Parts: sequence; C-alpha cells; structure tokens
Amino acid sequence: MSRILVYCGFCHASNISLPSVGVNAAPVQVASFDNLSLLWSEVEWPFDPERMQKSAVEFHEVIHQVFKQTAVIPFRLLSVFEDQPAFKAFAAENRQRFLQDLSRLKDFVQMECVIYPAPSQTQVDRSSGKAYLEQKASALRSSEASVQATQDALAHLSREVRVREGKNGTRIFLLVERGRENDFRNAVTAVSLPSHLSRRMSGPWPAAEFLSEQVKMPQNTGAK
Amino acid sequence: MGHGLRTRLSLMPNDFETLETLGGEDEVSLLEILDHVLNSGVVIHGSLVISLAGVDLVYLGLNVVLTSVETALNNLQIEEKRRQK
Repeated sequence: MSRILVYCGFCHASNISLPSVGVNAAPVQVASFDNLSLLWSEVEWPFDPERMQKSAVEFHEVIHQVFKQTAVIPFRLLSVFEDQPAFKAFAAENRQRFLQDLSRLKDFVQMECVIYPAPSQTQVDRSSGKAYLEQKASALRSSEASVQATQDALAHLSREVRVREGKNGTRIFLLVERGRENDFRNAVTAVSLPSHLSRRMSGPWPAAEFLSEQVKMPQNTGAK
Repeated sequence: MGHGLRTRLSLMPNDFETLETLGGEDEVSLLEILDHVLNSGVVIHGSLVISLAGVDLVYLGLNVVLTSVETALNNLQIEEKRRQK
C-alpha cells in the first residue's frame, strides 16, 4: 500500500532548486498552500527495514538540499499521511503556524555541541565508596563548568540556546545566524576541555529544536 | 526480519564514521542523520515516532538505534494488519 511521506515545509520562492527524487527513488512533489510549500512523495508503506539506513539518508538529502537554500521545517521520517485528503487537511489546518515559524527562523540554522565523558581517560577510583562518589561529583562539576564555559563563549552568536542533559553527556543546541557556522566552530574549539571530557560538533541543521510546540506536534486527525 | 537486518548492520563501519553526502560538501555521521530524521521535526503521528524514553539516538550505538527502528517497523506492520481486518 502507498502513503504520503512529507519531507519538509518552506516558504515558497521561485529560485529554490528542488530535488527530483526522494526516498526509494520516489519522485519528489511539491504542494503549495498559499506561501507554504511542502515536499512529499508517495511511498510504499511500511518501509522495508532492510533499506532503512538508505531511506534515512535519502530523506535527509531531500531536506538538506532545500535547507541549503532556505529555512525549512523538517518532518520526521516514520510519519506518513494515509492519503491526499488527509495531507491537505493537515496543511490547511497548520499552514499559518508553519509560516510563522518559518518567518521567525528564516535567517537561522541550528548548530550543536555535545560534551560527554571520555571513558578511556578516566581511571575509576575504587579505593572506597567515598572516594568514588567524590570523583563522580568532581567530574560532574567539571562537566557543568565546561558546558557553561561553552555557552558563555557562544553567547554572542546565539539567538537562542537549549541544553539537554543525557545519560551520556550534555547536548547544547544553538540558534545561529546562517553564515556564521564557522564562527560557532571556532568559538567552541577555543574553549579548553579537561582530559576526561570530549566534545563533538555538528551542523548546520534545520532549526527543529527551536520550532514552536504547535508546529512540532500539530493537531491533526488524518495522519497515520 | 530482524536477523537479516542485524547481519547487514554488522558490516557497517564505526558508528561515527562519516558519510560524504551532497556531493561531498557536507560531512555528517550516519548516526547523526538517523538521530535527526527520527528524533527531530514535526510529529504527525505520535505512535509511529521512535522514542527510547527520551534518550537521544545520537548517544546510542548504531545497533541499538536500528534495533529500535526494526521494532517500530514490526509494530507498524502489526498495526497495519489490524487495521486491514
């Protein structure tokens, strides 16, 4: 059976070059709802797990080709609409909210920095329970200080910041003006880290972390 | 379906090995792509979204990520069959 897979939404502009092929070689089509354009494909559903990785990369590439040119609102890969009427009803219901977010985010990209423990660098102190806990507390303080130092170093570049603590590290999301990605990388690199911590940077990504809640999880009845 | 998937994944390189995409302009890791396409953006049907108790996929190993994808797809197929009855 087939379903409607939506890649992303963006503000219509005639000079934007669109990808022609999407997931599993399906033609990419554009649906316009006033000034909002949504890219979509008709795909076989459910996806073949054997080519899940490939589908993920193909999905990413469609979004990224548009994102290189303008701000986009990405959809998630494993979400589909049952049919065209459901898709169109969704777009009609959410068009205005999408356009508001696109307008707010039009000049920005999302950059990310993850600060996480470097396991091989840390010798666990097992001499006593107290020593172990003190070591853990010290590592936590040090990690918090490094996250704060990174945020401070990026303050002049960040329109907004989100920090998410994970089991294995801290993930910092920044809304950075498009074109200043290298400034972000240079600012992060300039922050020294203690030997027991590592970091990884990535981006630019679509500003998905900074979407409004109504756009991230819109109300709709037609999706499957 | 799981066995075939795991067999194929065992051939994958390190989780954070980079893939050259978009004509070599950008380098991002496969795991980061998976994390973003599965964990970021608009949710149009909550039950289909892969969520591991709020843990970012980027923190997890690739096998764990794709096992979760596999489970989600299994659930999807079960759901589809139930809907068809």
